[in-house]
Amino acid sequence: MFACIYGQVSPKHEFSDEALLIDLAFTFSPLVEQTSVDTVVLDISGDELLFSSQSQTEANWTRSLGDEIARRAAESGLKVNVSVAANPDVAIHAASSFKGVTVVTAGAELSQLGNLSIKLLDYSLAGIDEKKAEEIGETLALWGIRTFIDFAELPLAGVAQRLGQEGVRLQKLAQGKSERQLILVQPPVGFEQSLELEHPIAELEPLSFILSRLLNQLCANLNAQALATNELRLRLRLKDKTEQERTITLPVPMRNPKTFLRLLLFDIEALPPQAAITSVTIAAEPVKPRILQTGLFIPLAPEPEKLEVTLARLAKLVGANNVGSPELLDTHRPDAFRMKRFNLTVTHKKGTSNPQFAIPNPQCLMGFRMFRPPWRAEVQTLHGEPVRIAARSMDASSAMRGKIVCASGPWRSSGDWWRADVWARDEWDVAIADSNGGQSDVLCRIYRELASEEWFVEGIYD
Amino acid sequence: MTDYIELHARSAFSFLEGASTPEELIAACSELKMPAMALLDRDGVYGAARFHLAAKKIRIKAHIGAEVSVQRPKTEDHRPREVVSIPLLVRSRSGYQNLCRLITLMKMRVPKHAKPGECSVTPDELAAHAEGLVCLTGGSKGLLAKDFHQRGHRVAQRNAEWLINIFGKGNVYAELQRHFNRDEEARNHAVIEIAHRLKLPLLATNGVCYATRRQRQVADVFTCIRNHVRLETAGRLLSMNSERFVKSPKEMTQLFADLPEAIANTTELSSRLEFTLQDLGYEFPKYPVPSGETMTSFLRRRTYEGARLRYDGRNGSPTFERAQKQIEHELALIEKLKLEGYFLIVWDIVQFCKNNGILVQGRGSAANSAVCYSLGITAVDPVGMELLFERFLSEERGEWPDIDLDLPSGDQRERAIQYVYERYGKLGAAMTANVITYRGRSAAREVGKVLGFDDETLGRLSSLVHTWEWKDPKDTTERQFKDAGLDLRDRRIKKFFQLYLAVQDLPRHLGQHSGGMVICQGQLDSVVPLEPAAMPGRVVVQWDKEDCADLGIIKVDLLGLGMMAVLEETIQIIRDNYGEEVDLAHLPPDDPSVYAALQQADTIGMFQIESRAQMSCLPRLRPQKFYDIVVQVAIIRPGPIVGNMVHPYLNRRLGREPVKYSHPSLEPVLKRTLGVPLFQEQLLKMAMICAGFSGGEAEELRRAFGFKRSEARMKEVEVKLRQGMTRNGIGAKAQDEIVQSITSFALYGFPESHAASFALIAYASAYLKCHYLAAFTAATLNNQPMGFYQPFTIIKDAQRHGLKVLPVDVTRSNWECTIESWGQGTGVRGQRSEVRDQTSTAYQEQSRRDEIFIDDSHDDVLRAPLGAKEFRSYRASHSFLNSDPVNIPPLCGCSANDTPRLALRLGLLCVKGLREEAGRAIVNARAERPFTSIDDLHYRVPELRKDELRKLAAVGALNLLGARASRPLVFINHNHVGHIGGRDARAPSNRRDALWQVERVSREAGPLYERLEENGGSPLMPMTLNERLNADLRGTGITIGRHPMAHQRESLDKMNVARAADLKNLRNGVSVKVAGWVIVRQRPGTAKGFVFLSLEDETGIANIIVRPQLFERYRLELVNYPFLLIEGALQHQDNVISVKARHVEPLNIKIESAGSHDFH
Repeated sequence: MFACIYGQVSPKHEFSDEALLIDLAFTFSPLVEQTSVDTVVLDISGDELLFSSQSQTEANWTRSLGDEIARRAAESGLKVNVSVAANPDVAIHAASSFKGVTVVTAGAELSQLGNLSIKLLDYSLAGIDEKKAEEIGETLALWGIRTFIDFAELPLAGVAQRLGQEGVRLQKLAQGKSERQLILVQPPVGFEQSLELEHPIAELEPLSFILSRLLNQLCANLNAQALATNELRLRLRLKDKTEQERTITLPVPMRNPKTFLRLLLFDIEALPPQAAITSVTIAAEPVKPRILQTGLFIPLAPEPEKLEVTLARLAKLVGANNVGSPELLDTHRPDAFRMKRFNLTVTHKKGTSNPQFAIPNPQCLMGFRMFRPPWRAEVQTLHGEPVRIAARSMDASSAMRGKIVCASGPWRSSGDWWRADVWARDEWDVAIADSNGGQSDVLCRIYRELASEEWFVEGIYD
Repeated sequence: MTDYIELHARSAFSFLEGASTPEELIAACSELKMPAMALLDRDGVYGAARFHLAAKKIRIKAHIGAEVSVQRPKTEDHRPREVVSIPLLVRSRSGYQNLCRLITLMKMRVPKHAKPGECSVTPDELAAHAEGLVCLTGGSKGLLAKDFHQRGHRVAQRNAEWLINIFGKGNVYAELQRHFNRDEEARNHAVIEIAHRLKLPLLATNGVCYATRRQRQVADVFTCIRNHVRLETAGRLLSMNSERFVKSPKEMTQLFADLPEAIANTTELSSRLEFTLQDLGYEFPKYPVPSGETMTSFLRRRTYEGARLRYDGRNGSPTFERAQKQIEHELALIEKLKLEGYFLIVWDIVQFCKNNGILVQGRGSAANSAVCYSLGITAVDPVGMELLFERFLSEERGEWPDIDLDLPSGDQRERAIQYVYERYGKLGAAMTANVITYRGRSAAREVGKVLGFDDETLGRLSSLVHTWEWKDPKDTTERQFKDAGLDLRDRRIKKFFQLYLAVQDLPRHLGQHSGGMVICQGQLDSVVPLEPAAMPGRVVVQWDKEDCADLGIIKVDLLGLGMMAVLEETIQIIRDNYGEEVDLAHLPPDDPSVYAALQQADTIGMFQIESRAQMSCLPRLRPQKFYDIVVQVAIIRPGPIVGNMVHPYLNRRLGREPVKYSHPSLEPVLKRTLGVPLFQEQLLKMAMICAGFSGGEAEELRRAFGFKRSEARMKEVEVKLRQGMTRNGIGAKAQDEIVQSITSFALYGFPESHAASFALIAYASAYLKCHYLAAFTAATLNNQPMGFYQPFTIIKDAQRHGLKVLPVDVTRSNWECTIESWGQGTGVRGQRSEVRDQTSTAYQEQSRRDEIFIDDSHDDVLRAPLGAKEFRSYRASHSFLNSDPVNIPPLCGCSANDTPRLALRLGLLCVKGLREEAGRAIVNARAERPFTSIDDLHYRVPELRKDELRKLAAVGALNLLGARASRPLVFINHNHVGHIGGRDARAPSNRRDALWQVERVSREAGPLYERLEENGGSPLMPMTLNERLNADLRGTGITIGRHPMAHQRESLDKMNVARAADLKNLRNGVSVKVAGWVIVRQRPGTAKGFVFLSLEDETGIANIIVRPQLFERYRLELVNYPFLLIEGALQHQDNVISVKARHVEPLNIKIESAGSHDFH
């Protein structure tokens, strides 16, 4: 005998409701199939020992079982339909079609389900893919087949000839005569460890003990399943009733509790909680572990675990946004770049996206030393050309001042006109005769932001 | 005096590589006081005509050229040959011809819409066409720029030498551009070095891509569209700055202050470029005439031959003597303007059509010419109708005449076009182009995509672009955006809106004009570059119809007209089935049944007079003679409507107001139209009489107020007109009236000649519909889509007129709809005897079954479990269809020529999703012997796919398979076919039977299942009435059974809903409810926001008028629901019946909609 629980899973709580359904099923039988997000089927053979008495017939005990499932579901806050039948697929159709508890008597499947609309027939139970299902659905509609019984009563040979083996399977489904084994689900393995603290913790050291304990257990679970993780989620509940959650994404799957501990501690140090901690939860996203075959003659790269710890240490020092590899952006906007996560893998670039802009044979071999940030400058112009400049660095540690003896430009660029941060500027390459009595001229690049009319020194040519 | 001329500008006709129209470039040029400019679009002279005409108006010299893609010469390093863009300027006419030929060579060997680089000319071809051209070394994408980057100075210099070898030393200029770019400046230095070494003159240009700095944004958007990227991801594909606009000579002089010779050389080169498009060198081909004849004498002879036949003085036509004066006048002018060749060539095309049985008729202003009439080009007699020749041709205008020929759309028209190609050579004739511009939804989508909007927002943005013709004045852009949930204050939305407006009307790609052909004496490819059109066998020029006309290239419009195809096919069907020959030129002129139908607005399917607006006018105008149809065709046009001419005319016609004239002198002109000007010719004559204008001046006046109207020009002409009228003593009030009628007419008015040509076709269609309904309906269905109504409505209309319509049946239907004898052995004339021969026992059986089919298949009904009530309903419907309780209009021609009982057999083309190849294969296989079963059909027609078989079964086309097999069939070796004599045991008896079998035949069942199957037969229940109706509408879009509304009649009667046919019996002003299927929704631009609906039920069509306020209230219901119930006041005036809606509600009828014809 089989029971089916069909729950009304709300999209908001889809995951929790789904888990609740499975948990509920496991309380009645170890043989559970999760047919879909909202449907579970369980093999209840043997449950009569729990739910029947001598005076009860089979129908009675199955009814009692159904009622009990419904009662416990209601206790868990789930709205479910329950059905019991001799065939798992019949149970599924009954639960998804009838409200409350339904018991389908063996042998009376067609009389109880026969009037159901053919649209309720679940093609996936017969292993029919969507495309084929659509095709068969169209054919049945053209044939005027409206209910299960309409379909069930078609001659088997006729159906087989026209709809093939898929049609035969589907017809058996409609007749309530399908035969199959349940696809069992394993009881869930926890990759989440949690601890409620008796006394709030406000310091890092005691917290590290707690974290270590939880991480050891978590890694042991991963190890037992031959899995690793590439994402750790730490959830801290604080004394002020707030929650803090942080996620650590790992470049490669790992399961070393010591590394995890250090990463978590660095992260907490960089952004400490505002109140004492009352509860700690650590969850890991299970993934397959990394398999690495190193070559005999290939130089060893730093171990990812060590590299990750080093990067975390750097991030603690300079801020997370300032660690990584700079990547130039494909834009005319000067010096536009972004920081991307540092990745050890060496990728061979296949050229820029716009090869026509690349200069394969650069004539200009001068080096350019860029000032970051650029120096603010005051520039005098004559007929639009710069003739004198005075500039200093942001921290006022360096300065330049003097007459511009030679200027080349303007080199005009503008862009991002569709965005709020539209930009436009005129650049000049200028040679400055140092008025501080310097020996040589300085060759530098200055520019004027056209929107603000402000001048800057962008850098100097070596 | 300026010392700089821009010699390298690109317009939007470089398709996504330029952002301004040629006119905008010229306007910028004019503003900067530059005396000349050169347009060099990519691989074409698409914009040259407009550039030239815009420049000519303000006396700027328009230099012509193009950036031509050329394969670079072979290099030592054996790299693949790259394509570079070489700017070429035209120096002389031979240079222009060379450029056109060069581009034609390139274009004709590559597929349409090839990307830059995919098509190019070879170095040898360039060398062979270099004469008369000046070459520039190019900008950032030019030959030298690429060389510097990739191969270094040495190769660059060698390529510069290669150019000198081709074009000659004085014809190669080292081009320098300065867009404030470091790389570019580095290149410039190298170019200067090479130029000094090779002694090449330097030339400054700005490589213009847009007229003003601001248009850089449009250029960037186009770059994104071209590269299929968004602005955010385009990166350095976008331009670096906005410097490619038209710069003033002063700016350019400053920019090249260090190289004054580069600036000075621009004026020097400009003075060398003598060629303009004024000097196009186009010649219309000479018509080959027999020896001893000149074109003049030949034309004269042909004209008089025709005139003697046409002007025989019989049946009210003028005598030859009367027409001769006009013909002489026309011939003299034709000779003077040297247009004999043109007339003879058009005559030749018409002769070809006539000799090959292709229906042809000239339309438009050509119908004003007695010569055209005599040559058989047009069918309207301008002498008899006193039409004004000057509307067609005048000496003053200095323009080529325009002759449009209407041909049956489809293959016949294609034959005529191919004849012209054959006769004048592939390079001697071509279609004119149709420039497709950025407009409407597609523009909104493309701009939206570039800005990175998601699909949902894109959908909302593009839906903002109204397809409704009329716009509410309150419908501001802000409101539209707000209604769609978009905030115009948002930066991206605002930017979208600006860019959307900026790209409007910019060219997107080149299409092919529907019928305009240009022909040339000699090689057309030396006049304008030619390209292959998307349609095989077609060649198209790079200019559109207007450009060709403006440059004096003569064209002939070979237009496809669906109704011409219908007329032609109807005549053929009549010939084959009625054994009669109908000559359209000799139809009885005053057929009473035609006028009766017109007066009752019973005009569905008739040419030009079937629209809702026409129908509401017909009962008022009550046409009684041919000229009334001419008026009818012309009166429902924006001109008369906007000019408030319709009501005065109708009132005068109905005697409600007196006939009066703005001035007594206008009486002869306006008498025929009761003092109300309705035609353009009247406008011209009014100007001639009142203001003493000549014919040519009057035509000039019309054009001044026409499509390309300019305020200044209109003012100028109006002053002249008023002066003339004052001279003739016409008072101020009358002057105002006359000016008012002229201004409203010039833009939208119809020429009388054109209206008369259309009226002829309208009359012919009405005549054929009235007398040969079956043939006419079959031809109309075979030429869909066309006209105003869906096939569903056409069939229902024919059925209401008593036409028997038989279903699609693979045992009888051809691919096209045909007609068959039907009924009790009544005699059939002529070739109908063949049909009668087939009326064997089997035919009788089929006939009985067909009749039943009309009532949704007898078999199905009998096998279905009918209750007593359903049976009564079935009987009622049966009787309804055979004797319609609604009065069938007496004019119905079926009773005349369609007796004895010709029925329309729907063709296989009605089945949606059935390919023509498969349909024709069925007909061919059946011609060998009848099909005995579905297995037999499947076996013998392998072209039929399973889904097609299923479609045929679903619409009942397989129901009669095997029914006619009257003798044992030869055994066919096929796995599944059991063969017995007479009717095959497997012959389906209803659609479900057929569907059951169809699923089997297309699947290999194997021997085990086969026997089991046959004993059982089909276990499926026959379709119900509603299922059959749905299957019909889904499968064919039509039903020959009861109208969907008839199924609802019982419940509608309970709700006191009137039938469409009952409305005429109700009083004006009563409150009434009507219900039906919405077949037309209209919101015409001239109706001030009123919406007109046509609701069809089983008795006819009810017209509904919806006020703008009511439309706003019920917008959802009115637009989205196919079936509506409308309550309102009945308006019954002058036999025109409509309901002014007060309340609208949707009807919950679940039917697959055949769709409506919406929003004209």
